[in-house]
Amino acid sequence: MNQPNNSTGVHATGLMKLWPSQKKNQQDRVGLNNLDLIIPAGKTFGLVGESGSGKSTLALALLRLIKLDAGEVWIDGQAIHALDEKGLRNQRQHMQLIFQNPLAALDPRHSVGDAILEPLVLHNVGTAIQRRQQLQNLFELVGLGRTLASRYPHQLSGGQQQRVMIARALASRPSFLIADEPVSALDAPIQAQILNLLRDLQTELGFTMLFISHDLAVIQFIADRIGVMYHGQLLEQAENNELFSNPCHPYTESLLTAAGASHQSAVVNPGKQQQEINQGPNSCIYAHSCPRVMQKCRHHEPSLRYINKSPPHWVKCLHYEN
Amino acid sequence: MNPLVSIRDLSVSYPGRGTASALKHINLDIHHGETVGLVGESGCGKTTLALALMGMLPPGCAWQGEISIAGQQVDFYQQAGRASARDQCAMIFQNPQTSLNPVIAIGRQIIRIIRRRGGLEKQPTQQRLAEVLSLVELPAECSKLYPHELSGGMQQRVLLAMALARQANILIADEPTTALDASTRMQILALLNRLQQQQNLAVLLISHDLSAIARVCRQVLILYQGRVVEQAPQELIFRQPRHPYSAGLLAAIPKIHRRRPDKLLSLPGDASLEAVTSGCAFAPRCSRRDVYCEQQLPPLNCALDLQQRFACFNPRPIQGGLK
Repeated sequence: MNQPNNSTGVHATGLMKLWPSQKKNQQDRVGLNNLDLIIPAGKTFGLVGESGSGKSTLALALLRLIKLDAGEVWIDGQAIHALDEKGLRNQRQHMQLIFQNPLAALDPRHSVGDAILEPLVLHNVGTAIQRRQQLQNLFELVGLGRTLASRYPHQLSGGQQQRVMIARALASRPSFLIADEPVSALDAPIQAQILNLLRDLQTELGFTMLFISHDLAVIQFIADRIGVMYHGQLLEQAENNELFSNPCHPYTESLLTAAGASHQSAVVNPGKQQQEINQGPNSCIYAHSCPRVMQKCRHHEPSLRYINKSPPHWVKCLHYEN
Repeated sequence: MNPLVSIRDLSVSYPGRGTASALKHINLDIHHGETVGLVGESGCGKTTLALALMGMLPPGCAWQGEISIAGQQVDFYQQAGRASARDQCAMIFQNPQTSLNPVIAIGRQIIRIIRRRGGLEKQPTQQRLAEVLSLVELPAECSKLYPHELSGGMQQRVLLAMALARQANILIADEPTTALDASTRMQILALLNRLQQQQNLAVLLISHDLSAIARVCRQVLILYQGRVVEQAPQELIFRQPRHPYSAGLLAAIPKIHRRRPDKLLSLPGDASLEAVTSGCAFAPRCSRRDVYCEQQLPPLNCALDLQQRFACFNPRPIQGGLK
C-alpha cells in the first residue's frame, strides 16, 4: 500500500483472523485469510458470499469491533489498527454500521427518537436544541414521519425500523458506513424502497459504503465495485458491470447461475464451507467443489491475476495463470 | 375426487391486536399431489393459515369457518380430532434449528417419529431411517450428529426427512428457504420438487420469495391483509398478473439485469401500516384505484377462462402483463 495515510477512502491490507476452535481436536476456523481491500471515497463496495465466508467478520474487523490477528486498516488516512482507546472512541462517529435485524439493534425501552440521538449525545455533538433540530432533519432524510419519534421499536414495521437504523447510523455524519445485510429480512417492495433510499442518501451525503449481501441482484443495484468472498478470501474483484458481464472465477460463475436462472434449474455446486476441508496446505481453497478443477489446483495456491488493469478486475484462479 | 384439504370461509382474528383480522373468508382446496404457493408480505396472514391447518392456532384467537382434511372435519377444540388431522400433515419452518431438539442426535429424533407411525421393532425402524435419510440425500453417518453440527441446509433436510417419516400426505413448508444461501436454497427447492413428485405429496409452500414459488408450485395464491387478492396457475400469475398488487410484488423482486439499474421498482407505502377501510385494502397503495375502490370491497372474480381469479374492480389488461 503506497502512502495510505494521505489518501481518502478505506484501505485494508493483510487482514488475518482465526476463530479459535471450541474443541481440542478441531482446527481453528478461518475468519479472514490475508485479505486486502480498497474502497475509494464516496463509492460503494459490494461484498457477496455464502454464510460463513467471513463477510461479517470483515465488517467487524474494519471497525475494530473484533481483534485482528494481523493486518492494517486505514480509513480516510486514519490508522484504525493503531488507535488507542480514546482515539478509537472519537473515530467511531466517523464509521457506522447497519445490521440485518433492526429489532435486535434497537433498545426496546427507548423511543426511536432517543435511539437516533444517542450517538450524538455520546459524542457530545451540538446542544440539546441543535440535536432536536438534527433529529427532524434525519427523519425527513430517511422518509419517516416526524410523529414517529416518540414511538417504540416494536410499534414500527420492519421497513420503518430499518429506516430508523439508517437515521441513527447517519446521525453523526459518518464518512464510512457498513451495511451488513440490511434488507435481507424485508419483503420485496420494502426492500426496494430501502435500497433506493440508501443509494439516494449516498449521492446526497457522499459517504463511503461497504454493503454486504448474499443476494447478487441487490449487490448489482447498490455497488460500484464488487468482491466475491469465499472462506475468508476475496476470489474475484471487479467493477459492477464487468463482474456480471465477464465473471471469471468458477465460484462467481456458479453464484451467478444460482441467482440468475430463477426459472430454470441451475447446476449448483454445494459450497462446503461448514465442513472441514481437508486439503494440502498449498491448494486453491475452492478446489474441493470447483467444476473446473485441475490437477494442479490441489497443489498450487493461485495468486492474484489481473484480467483488466483499469478499471482493475482481478481473480485468484489457476486457470488464468500461464 | 374429494380434495385432500378443503377450507371454507375461514376467518381468524387475534383479539387484543386491534380490529384487523388475520384472515378473512379464505376458501382453498388442495388435492392429492397438488402444489400450492401462498405469497404475501409479512403480516398478511400466511403463517396463520398454515397454523390453522395444523390446528396450532394460539389459544385465545377467534376463528370461524370450516377446515376438513381427508374428508374429516378439523375441530380445534377436540384433542382427538386435532391429532388425527395432524397425522395427515407435516410442517417445516423457516428456522430448522428451533424445530430440532439440540441435545438429541438427529437419528434418534427421526426414529421417534418412525416408531409413532410403525411400531417398535428395531430392524425395520433402522431400515426406514436409512431410507428417509437417503431420500433427502443425507449420508447415513449424519444420524449420529447433533443439530448444531449440521449446516442450515442439512438441518432443513433433516426436517424434510422427519416429514417423510411421518408418511404425511400434506407438507406445509413455511418459508423453508428464507434463511438459506442462494445455492443451498436451490438445492432444497429441487429436493422439495423431487420428493413431491416421488411421494405424490401435496405441498403448501408459504413464502414471500416468488422465485421459490415459481420453482415448486402449480397454483399460486396471493394474500393481502388476510384476503386472497389473486388466485391462478403459476404461469398465468407470472405472465399476466391481473391484480395491481400481484404486479407490484412481481416488479419489486430484485432481479439481475444486464446493466446496473438506476432505480428499483417498488410499491409505495407499507402493507402492515395501512388502516382498515371499508373498501379494497390495497386501494391506498394502488395506482389504478378510483372512487369506487375506497367504498366497496371487490369480490374474488373469475376471469373469462375461469382459471384466474382476482379481487379488483380495475384489473390490469391482459396484454399489459409482465413477461
